[in-house]
Amino acid sequence: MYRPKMPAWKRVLMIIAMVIATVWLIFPFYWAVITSLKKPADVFKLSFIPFVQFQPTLENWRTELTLRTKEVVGGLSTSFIVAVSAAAIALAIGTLAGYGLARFRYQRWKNRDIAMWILSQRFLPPAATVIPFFLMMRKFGLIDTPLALILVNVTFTIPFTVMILRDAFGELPLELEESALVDGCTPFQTLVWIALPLVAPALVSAAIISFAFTWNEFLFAFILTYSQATPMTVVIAGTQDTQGVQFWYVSTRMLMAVIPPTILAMAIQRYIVRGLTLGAVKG
Amino acid sequence: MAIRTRDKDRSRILFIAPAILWLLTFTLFPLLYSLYLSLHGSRFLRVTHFVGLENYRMVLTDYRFWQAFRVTLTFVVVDVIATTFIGLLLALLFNNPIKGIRLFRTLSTIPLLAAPVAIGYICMIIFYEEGGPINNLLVALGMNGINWISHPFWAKVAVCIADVWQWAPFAFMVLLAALQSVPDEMYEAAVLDTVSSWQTFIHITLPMIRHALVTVVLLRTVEAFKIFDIPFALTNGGPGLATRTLTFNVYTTGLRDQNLGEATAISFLLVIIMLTATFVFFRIYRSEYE
Amino acid sequence: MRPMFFMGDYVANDWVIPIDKYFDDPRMPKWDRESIAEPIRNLLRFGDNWYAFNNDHDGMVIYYRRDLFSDPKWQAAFKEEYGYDFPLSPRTWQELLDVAKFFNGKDWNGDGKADYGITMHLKVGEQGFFNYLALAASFVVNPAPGEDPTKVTRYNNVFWFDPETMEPLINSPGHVRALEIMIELVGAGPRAMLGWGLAEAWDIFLRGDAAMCFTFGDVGTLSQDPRQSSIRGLQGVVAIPGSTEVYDLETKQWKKLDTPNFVANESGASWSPVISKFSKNPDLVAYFCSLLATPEINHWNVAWGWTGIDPGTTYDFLPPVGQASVDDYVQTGYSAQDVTEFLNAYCEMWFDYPLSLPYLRIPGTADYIESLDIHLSEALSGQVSAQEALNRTAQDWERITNRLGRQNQL
Repeated sequence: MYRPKMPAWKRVLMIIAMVIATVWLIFPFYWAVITSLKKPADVFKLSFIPFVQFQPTLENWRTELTLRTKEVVGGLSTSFIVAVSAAAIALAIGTLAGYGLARFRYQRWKNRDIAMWILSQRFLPPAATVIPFFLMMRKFGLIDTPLALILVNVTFTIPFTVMILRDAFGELPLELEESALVDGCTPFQTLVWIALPLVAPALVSAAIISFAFTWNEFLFAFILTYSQATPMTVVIAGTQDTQGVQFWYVSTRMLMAVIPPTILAMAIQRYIVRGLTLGAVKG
Repeated sequence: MAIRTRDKDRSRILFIAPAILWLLTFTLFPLLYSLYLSLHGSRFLRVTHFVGLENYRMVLTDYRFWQAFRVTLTFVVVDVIATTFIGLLLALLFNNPIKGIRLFRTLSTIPLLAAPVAIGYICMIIFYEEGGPINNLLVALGMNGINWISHPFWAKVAVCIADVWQWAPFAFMVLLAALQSVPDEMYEAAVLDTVSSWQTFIHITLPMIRHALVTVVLLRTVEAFKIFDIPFALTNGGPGLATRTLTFNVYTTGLRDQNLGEATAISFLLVIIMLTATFVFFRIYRSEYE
Repeated sequence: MRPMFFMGDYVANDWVIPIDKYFDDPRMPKWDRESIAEPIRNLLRFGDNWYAFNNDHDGMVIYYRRDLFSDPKWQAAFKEEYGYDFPLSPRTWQELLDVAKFFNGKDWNGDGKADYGITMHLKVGEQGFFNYLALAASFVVNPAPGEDPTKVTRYNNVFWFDPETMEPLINSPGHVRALEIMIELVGAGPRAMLGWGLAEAWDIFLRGDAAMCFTFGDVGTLSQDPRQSSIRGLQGVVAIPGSTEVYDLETKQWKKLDTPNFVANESGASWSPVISKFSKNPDLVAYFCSLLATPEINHWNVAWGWTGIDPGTTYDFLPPVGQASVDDYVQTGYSAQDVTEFLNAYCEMWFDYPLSLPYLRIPGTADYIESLDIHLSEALSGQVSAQEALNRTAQDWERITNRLGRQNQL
């Protein structure tokens, strides 16, 4: 990269800008964390620094994790089950389709048209299918089951897995796979034994993005579940504590809902740009 | 680039068949079902009789639809412009070797995969008018607090801030990635020609990141049309209809008021609006893609 | 547990079954239907059948700060400002408004910042429309002349629609006047209440920053909890005020009254168990007075749902009407005076008010209310005038009625 020498004032300015940007970025989380550590009486006061401006307490966390396990642990485990299952299915489907699109030439429809058609699912507003989906799930007796959420979230994440893996397979050299085919492997065996291990990083990032999108999905979860299969997003939206003014509990729940996918996101930050742009921009 | 197999088409089809069948079942079928519903009357979640375009006529003459349309459009325009602008500004600023940039990039990924509905509730705390941190700070500085949630204008602003907060880092990361792939020689040549930095930006940088910029704008446009979670959590669409978006309208009409026909009609109108946007997207995207 | 307000939808959807057959079933525990206050008893029934078990009795009352209201200093200042004696328990909405305005913007609790007159929960999709209904009733519900003031005619004891044509009454002058008063009331409290649900509205009263709170029965209990409340022992409660003017739909004129028109309200969800038609074993469910959740009802309630149990039967109230004693309450942690005020206010409303607000219990209630709710919010947040907001509501209501079939709705 070309780097002209920077004058000192410019460096200072940049550091200031970076500090402001960082504060802007962190503030909501920081505020949620300290609110979850405040006693109810301190919540509406303007105080930022624990120990100095207010005495922190773990009482709120204790209440949430010991007295309200049904809601909190139930929500988290449903979210986890749904997100892992949806990610696994979407990944399996996406791997096959990604490989097919990267390696074969389809006759009736062109590869590009198939890819665009799959991609276009991402551009369909969820509102367009929410009503029929609700009626369909009701018909099949799947309302308030994790299965309904898995079905819908696989649908939403297939475009990510297909596009990410298509790109990843497309970048592999052909020779290895061709020699495997010559040695008598079927295309499927070639995919599993030769190509798949080479795209492990892409698999991980596709899985994490699918996991995170499923974990965060709210509209369908809100409409399809109400008591037995409510994921964390619905738990936080549905409880009296979050709708009310008990911000200390609002904060604990927000943090529990936000932490798992964001931690995972940091692990794949190299791929996140490519993943979220569905492969349009290489990070 | 394609591999030659000894198998005929049939086995190749098996690779893409699951994806296509899945999407036909869970996207195309619901869409057709939805179209059917939008052409029928309903009474309490039960379809009654064919009514033709009556539901669409009802929706298009309901000012609640147009209000939601305006609100959605406002959010899309503000969100896309603010997100892209802030992201570009940060990307240009931090496209330099500077200590801490890696950490900053890592932090930038946090909002991207945080649940929007959770962000909405966090913002409810932050924008709380009687004792929230922002208003407390304003009051401490001797100013008046802002009616973040209770004023129709400020409620829109609050929703936009929450949304921009979540997505500006996305624009930043994409544009930074694009900037870093601009070859140094381009800049060196420019320096030799001693053009101003503004001209460097216009003539060299901008064309080089055009693809990324277009991607950001179009992806954000498409996603912003879907906005529901944040206004739901933060303002519940209010005050009045000030922050009620089209998706919100589909939900209330269909599942709260149990009016399936009009709800699906709204959702189809939303699809048409987005198809128009997506059409533009593909026109540009396809030529850039591959 | 279902909000009784939406009974019309439940019955029309065929989601619930009548429970009459269980009354004489020896397997079932008995509960005393006669002890329930009349307005609530009507609520649990639909047509000739009972559909719901007795449980909760919501209604709106006004909570106030007894310490403030009884302070001679404020009473004198009030008289000076408004020219009449401080109304210890406001009998009309105008008096209530004056009191709210009087306390609004004054630092009466000495914390260094201006405090508020009144607080309500007016966020869209929360329960602000219940406040409006409670307020509007005394301007709109016109008692019938003659022996029985509660007789329902085309022009008397109607609130929602013209019973003969299903034309909405919601933009009639009585409603408009009521909404204008409500707009003024919002001006006498924190504007933030337009973004508040129940808990936030209660919180500012319990924190001690608002002189009055216009809401359901829950505050009577919450105010006794020292973790949330700084006003235990300072709470007063009055039944909702009336109006000295009521709009007469027949003569199309305002009718002046010597004594205010008091209209009880069952505003609120009044959560009571019903038996879902989808129950696998209705008898068992009936026995436990519980309900197997069903997708239809649940979903529908997700959008509206809340809690709180309030008094409404004679065994809840104090003599002479009831059979309870203050000690019962004090033993469970209530301040004696607070709870007496609380019970008497409800008792007065349930048993002394001559009229009561008719519930809207026709199919599509959710839809009608949804429209009213958003238009109220538009008017209260200053986006449109009261008249315009109610005109919009009336227009929406006509659409809904036409969609569901006017003849069906009548």
